[in-house]
Amino acid sequence: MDMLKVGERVRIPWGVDVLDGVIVEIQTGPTGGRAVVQVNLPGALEEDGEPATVTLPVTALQPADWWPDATGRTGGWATSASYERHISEALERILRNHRNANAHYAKPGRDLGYDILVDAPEGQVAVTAKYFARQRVGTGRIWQLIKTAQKVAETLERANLILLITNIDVSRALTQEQISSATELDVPIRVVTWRSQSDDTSLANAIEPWLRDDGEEVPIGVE
Amino acid sequence: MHSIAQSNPALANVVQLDMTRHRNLDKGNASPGALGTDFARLGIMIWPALGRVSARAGTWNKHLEALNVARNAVAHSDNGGFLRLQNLGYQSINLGVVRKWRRSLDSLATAMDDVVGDYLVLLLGGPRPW
Repeated sequence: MDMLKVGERVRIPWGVDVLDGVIVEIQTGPTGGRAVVQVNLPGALEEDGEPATVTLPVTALQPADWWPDATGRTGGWATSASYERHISEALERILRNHRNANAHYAKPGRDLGYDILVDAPEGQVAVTAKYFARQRVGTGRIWQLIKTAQKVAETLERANLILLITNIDVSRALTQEQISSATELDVPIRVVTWRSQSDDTSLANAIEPWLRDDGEEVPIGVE
Repeated sequence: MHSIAQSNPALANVVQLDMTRHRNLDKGNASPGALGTDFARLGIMIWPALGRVSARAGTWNKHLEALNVARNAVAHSDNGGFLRLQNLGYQSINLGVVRKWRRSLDSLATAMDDVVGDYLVLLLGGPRPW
């Protein structure tokens, strides 16, 4: 940020969140400028009646209009993280019936295009979990996800299936046939709606045919 | 901490000391604000995060606050505390109220485990810590 001033509103990356702050002091020195920023910590106590301040390099500050929808969104990461955890648990329940299949989780900061890679003897299934805050999403947003899934299919040599799991009913916007005909990939892209454990069966139906090992009996359903 | 400790144990000690020094939980009751402050050290805004995953987070917060007020009122025979409880909507502290608070705290603890676990996976990667 250029030309910082005392009293200027800024945003500070904080863990996986972003906090609002106001610059209360600017310090200059041979190693670069630093700013003392008063931050708002939602749900926390004020120490001795004083608001919290942090001192950090000015290069760590972001302008107030950075990530414009951040205001009031503190903790927003928890919703999608919680959804991904539930999907991981659902996959674990399904994979208990497939001892030869293992789930590997993508590391944060590495944008691989998928969240979980299920490794099975016959190939891999790349799984992306996507939580939508709204129950209705525009077709364009869904196509974006499909395009990302296409790129994943092109980067994985052993991929058998790209599985996109969401909490919304995508079929309202796009049918599976439309997705298949538009993508024209050797690796199919399937979209599954998962909202609770009661949707485990449809998730199992989508993934299990691709986990089948020679001689392995595919379970009919999942509890 | 683990990755720092492997490369620089002395630095790990300094960081660990500062992360655990003057914790609100070490010097007072586990009030909603004390939890919020202690978790903020780790980068987690715990109450907003809990509010994202459960519509009951606000109720848990209120019950925890009321439990702390009741605890202090009883322990210190503080009439002001009992008056504050009345202002919070509690005319008396009976078994039913205490059981309701206990159920809330059980749910809160479970949700905190989930949220903090999710946060650590998101921040650090790797398998779930618990």
